[in-house]
Amino acid sequence: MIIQNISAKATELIESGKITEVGDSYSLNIEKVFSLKPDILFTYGNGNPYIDGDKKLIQNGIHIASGTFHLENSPLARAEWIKFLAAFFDKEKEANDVFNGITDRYNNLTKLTQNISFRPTVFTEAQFGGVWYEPGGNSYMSKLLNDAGAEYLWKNDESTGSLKLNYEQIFEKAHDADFWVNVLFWAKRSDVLKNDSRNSKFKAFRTKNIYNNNASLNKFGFYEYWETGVINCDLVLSDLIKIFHPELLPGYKLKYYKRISDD
Amino acid sequence: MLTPQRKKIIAVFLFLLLGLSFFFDIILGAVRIPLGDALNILTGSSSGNSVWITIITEFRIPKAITAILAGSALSVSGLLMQTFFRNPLADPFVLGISSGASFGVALVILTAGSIGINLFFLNGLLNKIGITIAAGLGAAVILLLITFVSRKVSSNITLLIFGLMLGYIIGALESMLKYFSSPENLQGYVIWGMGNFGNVIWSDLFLLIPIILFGLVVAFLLSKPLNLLLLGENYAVSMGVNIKVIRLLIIVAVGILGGVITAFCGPIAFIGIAVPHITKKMLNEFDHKILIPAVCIVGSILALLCDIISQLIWHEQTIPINVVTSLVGAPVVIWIIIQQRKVKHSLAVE
Amino acid sequence: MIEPAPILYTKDLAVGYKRKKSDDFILLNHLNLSVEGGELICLLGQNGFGKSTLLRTLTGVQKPIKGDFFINGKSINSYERSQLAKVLSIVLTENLSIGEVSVYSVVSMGRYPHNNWLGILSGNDRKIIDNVLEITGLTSHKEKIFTELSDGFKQKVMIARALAQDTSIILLDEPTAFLDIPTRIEILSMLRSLIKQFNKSIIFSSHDLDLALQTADIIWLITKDQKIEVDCPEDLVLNGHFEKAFNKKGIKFHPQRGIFKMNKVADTKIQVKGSKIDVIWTERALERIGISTDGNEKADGSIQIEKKDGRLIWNLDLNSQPVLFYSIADLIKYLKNR
Repeated sequence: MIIQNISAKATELIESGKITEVGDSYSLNIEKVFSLKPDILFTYGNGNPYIDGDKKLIQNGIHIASGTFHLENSPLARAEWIKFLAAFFDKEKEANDVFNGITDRYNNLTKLTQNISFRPTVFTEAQFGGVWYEPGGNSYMSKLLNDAGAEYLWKNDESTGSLKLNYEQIFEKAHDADFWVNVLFWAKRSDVLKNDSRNSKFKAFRTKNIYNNNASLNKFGFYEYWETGVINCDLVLSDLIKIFHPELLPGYKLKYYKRISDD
Repeated sequence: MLTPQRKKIIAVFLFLLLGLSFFFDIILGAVRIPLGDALNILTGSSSGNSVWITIITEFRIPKAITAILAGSALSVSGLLMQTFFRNPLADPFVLGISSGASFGVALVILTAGSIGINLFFLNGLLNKIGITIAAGLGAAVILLLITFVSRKVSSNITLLIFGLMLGYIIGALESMLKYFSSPENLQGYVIWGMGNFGNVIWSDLFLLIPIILFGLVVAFLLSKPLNLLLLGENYAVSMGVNIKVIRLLIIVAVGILGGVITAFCGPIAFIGIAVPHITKKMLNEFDHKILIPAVCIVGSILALLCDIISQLIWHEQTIPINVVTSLVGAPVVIWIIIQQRKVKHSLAVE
Repeated sequence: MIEPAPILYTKDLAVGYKRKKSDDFILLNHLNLSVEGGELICLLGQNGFGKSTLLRTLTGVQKPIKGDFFINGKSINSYERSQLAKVLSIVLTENLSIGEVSVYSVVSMGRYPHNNWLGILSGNDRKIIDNVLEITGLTSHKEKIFTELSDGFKQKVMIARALAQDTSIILLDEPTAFLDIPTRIEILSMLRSLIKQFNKSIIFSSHDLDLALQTADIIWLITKDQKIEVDCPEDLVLNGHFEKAFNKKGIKFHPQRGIFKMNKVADTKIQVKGSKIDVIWTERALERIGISTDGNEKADGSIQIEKKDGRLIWNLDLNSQPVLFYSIADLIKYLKNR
């Protein structure tokens, strides 16, 4: 699947009014939903349609399906949720095919880095209001980085969510890390410094090895990484392998990630 | 009354405590640094673990200095407000200054990323400079509003009520922003609201230190009129105090001290209200030219101690400052109230 | 001998309230008062006729509606607050909630208009404070906490502070309010002695007619037609101004005794004879129950007070029925129940 096609299709449907905004899972515009009389409303959260959706809607005959793909601990498990959606459209077979393809490609890519001799060190995220949320050792991001042939500095931690650390703790462990990825909304070196001038002390900053997942944006400015990137975890993995071990994927061009620009 | 001898002993004790707190706030932290290495770094030896050197010089020392500045600024502001409004429960933010700063920050953080809204082209989402400027502007706007009103209004009570109500209005607007914001933004904003001394770096301090010193000096120069205000406005006027001018200067001093600290550290609770009482009780003093320097020291000690506690309580995780200051400050406020009632009761018996 | 200029004088002064949307509300008009050095002046008048307003105007808190007044020859408008504080001090009846401040500290604040911008006390300041404490009898109390003092002492402290301020004029608003009788006398005689010792001018307002008449050199009596009668107390009584100023329905002023009494119509008149003090107090008791003891009507009865074996006996002869009583209480009980 090519990213741009999906995105373009969705954009067209939004602009022509075929897809309507009804709020987000935390503030649903109940009356609007009801007036549209959808066959089904998809949302996400705790997995409980009464909480993630709305009790009144259900009582009045609106069907709500709620997913929890974001709570999965591995990239493939997240992608597998395509089957959940497919089930409602009687497209299980297609979903299975797609998913099997993704799984195969993903596993093949993993094989490339499995026995690699050198793993560059990596850390993620940035200071966010005085706290640094770093994914736990058992989170999907940790697995993704590991599968990409990198040494994630917090891989030995056991939590599946995010750790709330402070700058000091991050700095102690990661000041010498080779790579720094998934850095909020940053696109330029000046963004990095604006967040905190001490960011310049990281080795990854000096060696210009900061990459962010904002290479591809949809028409409204939002990251493709969080849309098609969830399903195309094999492409995300490819991006990461290209970053950490470019020689393993010589012809490959980055799709979701890009290096922070020098200005 | 405390003898001068006693007062000197207390002063020495406080200075020692300040030095110790400063020292421990630097030695202790989320990252374990052995005492020997820490001492080496502090005495200026350049050898040793460069990471630890960076942590101490770039992270911990600025943080400790910020704690001292915040403790001083907030305590002095609290003292001024308590004297000015003759109200033992007044704090630096009673005129709505912190609400203004918070609202400025709320505008920047909570609307970030919304389609079409990206304030300040500074990429709202927790760009530190953007936040600091927004908080400073928010506090400044409220400050201007309050000074304008204070010139039109003759009664302090009216001014107080205006400030409180203004705080409520802004709080309501803020709630609205919170309601419509995304979870990530909301979380970031809430965490900002919990206070943090650690976000200030050396280049910030070059701005912060002179501003705070300026505010403290203005407050100190107001010692005599402040003493006279203790007798009430009528007596103060009869002894030569120009109420309108003094009021304006007090508001400006409190606005600057409180506003700037909130801009750089987020709203810090309780230090402003608790420290003046602790200091007055300790020194048995009313004279502001002694109280103002004294609350600076006591406030700094308290801020440093709260910072130390916030790092030690929970293994590997830091607790937000406001949690610690509230847990320490609330008992003090309770104690104040009990004291007041004791005095009232004894007078009634008389 | 050239007379010294008055320390304070008013020129066609009018006091009252400025109202934004209508005419100014004038309480007292065309006042031409003057205060010499060494005078104790009492401001008397019924409530609501301008007593507090005049005081507030003289202290500079309120602006005069019309006219002007001068202190040491300078118009009040040309005084800076800090300069005014050196010539005029005030003592109020406010309930002060100062906190843990010592008596010495409160009094020392009186020196603030004179010392430097930080309020540091000089050796001279300390001498003055010690002196003032001695004059007001507070030396042994100087370390006590202000809020722990009784009302009488608190008042003395505030007066001491005004003294320390070393002004030529001191204005006091109801200095004897809320104080018990002995303390009232103490305060007023303290004010008298201050006049003598320091040649200060003291103006005080009071509701205590009796003590005011006794202690003041001059009374400023607020009349009911927006004027002030200025005279020594005794003249004001004799020329009837006093009575006029306080006359109210149902109340009468009795010049002999210098007091006001309820104007009750008596149904009976009894004449009392005996030694002076016994007569006075018996008459008071009779008047309380509505029996008159003087006036031009014919008496309905009489009481003869005698002393026998060290005891007082009241001999009542009413309607030709003689009865004996050994106390005023018994006498009154009988008369009430007849």
